[in-house]
Amino acid sequence: MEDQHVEDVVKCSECASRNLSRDETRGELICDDCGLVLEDNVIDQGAEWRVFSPEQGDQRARTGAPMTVMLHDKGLSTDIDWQNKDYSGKTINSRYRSQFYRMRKWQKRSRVSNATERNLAMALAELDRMASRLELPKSVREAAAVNYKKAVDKRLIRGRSIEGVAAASLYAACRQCGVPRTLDEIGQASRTGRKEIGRTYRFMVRELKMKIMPTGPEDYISRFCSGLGLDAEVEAKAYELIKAAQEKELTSGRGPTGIAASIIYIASVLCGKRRTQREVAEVAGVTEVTIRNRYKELIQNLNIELEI
Amino acid sequence: MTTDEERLTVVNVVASTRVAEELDLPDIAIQLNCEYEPEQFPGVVYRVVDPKLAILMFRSGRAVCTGGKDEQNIHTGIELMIGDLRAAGITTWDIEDVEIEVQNMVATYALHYPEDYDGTDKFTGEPLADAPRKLNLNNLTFHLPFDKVEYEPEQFPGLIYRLDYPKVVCLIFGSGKMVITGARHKSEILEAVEIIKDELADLL
Repeated sequence: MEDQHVEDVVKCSECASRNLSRDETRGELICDDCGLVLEDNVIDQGAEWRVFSPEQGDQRARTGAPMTVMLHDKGLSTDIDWQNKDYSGKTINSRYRSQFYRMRKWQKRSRVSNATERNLAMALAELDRMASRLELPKSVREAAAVNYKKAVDKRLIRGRSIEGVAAASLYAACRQCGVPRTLDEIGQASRTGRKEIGRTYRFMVRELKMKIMPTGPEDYISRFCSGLGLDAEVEAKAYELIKAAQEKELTSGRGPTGIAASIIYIASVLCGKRRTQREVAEVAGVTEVTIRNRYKELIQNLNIELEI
Repeated sequence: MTTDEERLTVVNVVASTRVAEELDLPDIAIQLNCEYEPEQFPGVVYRVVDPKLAILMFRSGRAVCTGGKDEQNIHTGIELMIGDLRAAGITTWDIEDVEIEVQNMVATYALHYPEDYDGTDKFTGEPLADAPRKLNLNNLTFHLPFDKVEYEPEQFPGLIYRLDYPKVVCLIFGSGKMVITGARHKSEILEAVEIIKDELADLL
């Protein structure tokens, strides 16, 4: 674990400077200001240099796969290779094939040692499935896995479904990473309903004392705009309108997606790149009625003249 | 200026009690002509028109009274019920022996009252009382202790504030109106209102 914490060193112990540089060839961590060598003989976990093709890169990696929170055993367990070859690359005698087949099977089973592990393995697989369906980046998946593990440690899963907690972890992770998805979107990707996800999410936030900011309409603008094929001009206009609306206190207590949707609608009309209310409603996952209601409030209070 | 107590509207009081050792629900349902659907709900629903109450009676002799506006309501309701039961020849305890315990009280309160703002605006000359006043719930989440508030506009338009003492839950809305629930007594609600008004003093 010694070398692991090299990653965590952010401050020079001598002059408290944060200007540190890593010398990969010497394997040292050096303070740029005072010259102190903070760490030496650092293990380079990168691939061997001079790689000409991706396959080669894999072969020349000097260490195994990095640890990841997205697997129940942190990716540290080993497999019996599916290829019937021994360590030197020779093919295994066909007499032993079936024996190896059975060993492989049992090794896979024994990797998940107890019920908690099995639960975690299932949940992480579910998390990964949902995240893939929502096309979420790796950082969000990792945050979701961390959330789920925290929930397991605090024994919050008891009496709740794995799917529900996994979906709630993902929802929380999206918000922590500043890329909120609506409960409906998560609900569609998961096997549970939005109500259950919302309930579990609120419970988790309370029990884990997570600090998550309330979502605002501004978080959804760029995603909805690209969903509607609107350009940067409309997006900029929409941000401008949101700011005005927030100054006039028109947003509090209103659903952020509804506000975002109607603001995009107004901005698209103002910029002459009109989208119909139905199109906007579909992308934002709200009803047309919501858009109309918010729209009325907004144009009245912001003194916007619109020709329809 | 009206006091907090006058402004507070208690909208629901729920109380529990026990009126007999045992109740024969099917018999009661027939004799008093009450709602009784054992497949849906295990209790008999006894409705009082004035004051408008619903009393749920269970086989164990316990009863839950909901919909009261104050404790007096509940008492009259239960007295009426016991009277009816006795008239139908069902044995119950004496009214003096029946203990009524308030379980929950729900009240509404508004943080802004137009009549609190007298005078006119310095710039526009319009009376201040007419100016719309709204609470920014987003800012409120920073003002109040974060582990006790919950504001999810996607799920519920109000901000949920759980007080430790008095142990009540407040729903605060953007309009400045509040719902206070979970109290056992009116004094707890008043205390909660005081605390919240103090905490939001510089926002109002």
